[in-house]
Amino acid sequence: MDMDGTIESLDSASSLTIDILPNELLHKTFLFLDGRSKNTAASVSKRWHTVVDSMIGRKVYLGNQCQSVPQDQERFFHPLSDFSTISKLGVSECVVGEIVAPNRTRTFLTYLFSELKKAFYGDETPEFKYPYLVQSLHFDGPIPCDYFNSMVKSVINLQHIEFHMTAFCCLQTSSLEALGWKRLKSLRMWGHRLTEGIFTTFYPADRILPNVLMFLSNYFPALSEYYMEYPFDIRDEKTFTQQVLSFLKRHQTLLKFRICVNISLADDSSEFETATDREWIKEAKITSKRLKLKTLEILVSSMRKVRLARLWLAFVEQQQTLETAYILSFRIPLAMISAVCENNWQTLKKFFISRIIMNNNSGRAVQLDCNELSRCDKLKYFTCEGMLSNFLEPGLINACSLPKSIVHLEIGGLPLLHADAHDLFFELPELKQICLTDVGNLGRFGITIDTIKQVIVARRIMVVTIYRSVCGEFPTGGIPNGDHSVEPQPCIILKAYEILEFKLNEDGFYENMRRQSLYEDDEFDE
Amino acid sequence: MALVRVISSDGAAFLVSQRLAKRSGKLKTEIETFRKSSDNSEAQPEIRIVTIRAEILRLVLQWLQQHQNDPVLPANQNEQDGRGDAEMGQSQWDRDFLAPMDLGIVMELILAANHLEVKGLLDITCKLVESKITGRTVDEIRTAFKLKSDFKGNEEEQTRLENRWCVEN
Repeated sequence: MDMDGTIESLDSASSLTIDILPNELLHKTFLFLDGRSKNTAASVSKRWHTVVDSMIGRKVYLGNQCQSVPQDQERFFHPLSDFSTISKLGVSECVVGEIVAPNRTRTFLTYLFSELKKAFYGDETPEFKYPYLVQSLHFDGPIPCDYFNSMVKSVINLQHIEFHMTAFCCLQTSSLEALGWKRLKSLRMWGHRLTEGIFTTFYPADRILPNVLMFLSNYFPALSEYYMEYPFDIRDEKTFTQQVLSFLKRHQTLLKFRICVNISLADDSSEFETATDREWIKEAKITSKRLKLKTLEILVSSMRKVRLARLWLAFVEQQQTLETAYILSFRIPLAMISAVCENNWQTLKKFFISRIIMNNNSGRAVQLDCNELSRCDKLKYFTCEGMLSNFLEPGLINACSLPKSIVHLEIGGLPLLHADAHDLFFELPELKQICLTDVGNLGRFGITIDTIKQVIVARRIMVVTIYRSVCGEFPTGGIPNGDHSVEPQPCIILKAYEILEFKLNEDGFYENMRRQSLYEDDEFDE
Repeated sequence: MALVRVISSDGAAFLVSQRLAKRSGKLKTEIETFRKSSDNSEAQPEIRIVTIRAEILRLVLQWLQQHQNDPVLPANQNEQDGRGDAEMGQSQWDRDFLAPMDLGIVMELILAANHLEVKGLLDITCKLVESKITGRTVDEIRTAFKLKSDFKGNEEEQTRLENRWCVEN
């Protein structure tokens, strides 16, 4: 570079301050700040306050902690904050809990308060200062209709909405009609914990269901994620299911879908396989065929919901582009597992099957024949769980029926023969993490001490966890890990409750592991 | 090699290659405008930047020269993606380049990078300002940026109260 200009010394100080930046550049700078720093920056000066206020990145909690949903989940904890907060602050994410007054008996008032709320909150309904900033809204408990209306009004950039179904109990059907959220990407609706005791009294289904159905008559052109739980105390699950199916039919942009049936009040298993049932299943198949999902999760945890289980399992079979399939249900027919593998072998990366087994004949466990599975050569995560089934039928899974691409393997509650268990450790070249739970510890079943010794010598799999599945007398002093450089040589030991957990340390030798989550997903992903 | 003369507000002229200059969106437009309006295709364009003084202009050109082989980042990219780019693009050279500057110079550089449409430089300078804010208290930030509170009465307390309800995202 030629420069013929005269240049002063470079580090001459400049008397200019950040005030010379126009708002748009200040805004650009603040984009790099995290939420906490944005809050600090907002207190620096009036101008900074204005700029921060008009930005995305602030999250506000309003309302009370929820009575209706699990207390142990952090997101359901709501310090009561003044509703006028949102009309003073730029907010992009807003979590709304149950709306009742502090220092008052909550539960009964929760239900009555739609009439009483003016006494608590005044006449003004809360409105967002900058509705266009709002990207995410959560309603975790009952909210008065006019509050809801004024909060969802003009949030045109809304991308994510989440409801606990109790949120619907004070709303009017008309306010859930034609919600024009063109950018909405994700919708979640929870119904859990509502089958229990007192809640069904305060949140009656006949006030909630019509609203849920009305909400589901909307169309959101950008929707890609839809999580749905069946609501509590549902008497007319057919109407509800049909509404969900027709919602699915209208949203062919969906990539992720999860449906969860954990209600168990009513038994739907009588007169199974009627003509109407077949019609219903056909409808589910047609709907499914029109979707190209990448992630599908089906959870039917209630053994009394036979029809719903059949319906949603039929839905699974039609998918052809799945990358993740998570199926938790009883009565999973072998044909369905084969169909999932057959239809999705080119894309399937994660496959989770968990089966609840009934004791009567019609609900018996199916044998998992993995031959179809071995075709899925992109499969990395495979989990297969049974419930301690009778141990008369061994050999349900063996290594040669699994694809060689598996990185993460979990098997639980299924009997494994000694030789089959051995092969799982040595015949899968990519395997990095394995978890075997209740695969037997007597007779021909379980993992032998010899196999464990070989695994420790091989030092190949990164994380090994074995629960209640060691067959034979485990050495009292443990098994040496082969690292002679350390005195005394570390040993892998069997912990209380027959827990054996070890992982490779930095030196490449196994060490005992403290308890940790078994689901360290994505750790070994590309 | 085709050259271009870039002249600062205080009259200092810098002779740089057109290839280099075109990495600034603004200079690129100016050069093209000059080409269209000039009869003589061999003539050397001369561009006057009335808002940027020599010292700052020299820094911008110096930065451009160091980064002349980087891929050009699209200027109209979604602002929210800015974070990733800046982290990716910040090299040891950039850190050494920015280290001796006082905040006043950085502010001028931000203005210049914005005016000349040099996205990479704008990102790293904004990131530098960000690093002076993150993790500090309100008073520390005021000291660092030589700012005085202009809140009246209990307004500041009010702001802090409002922000109490915001949590880290």
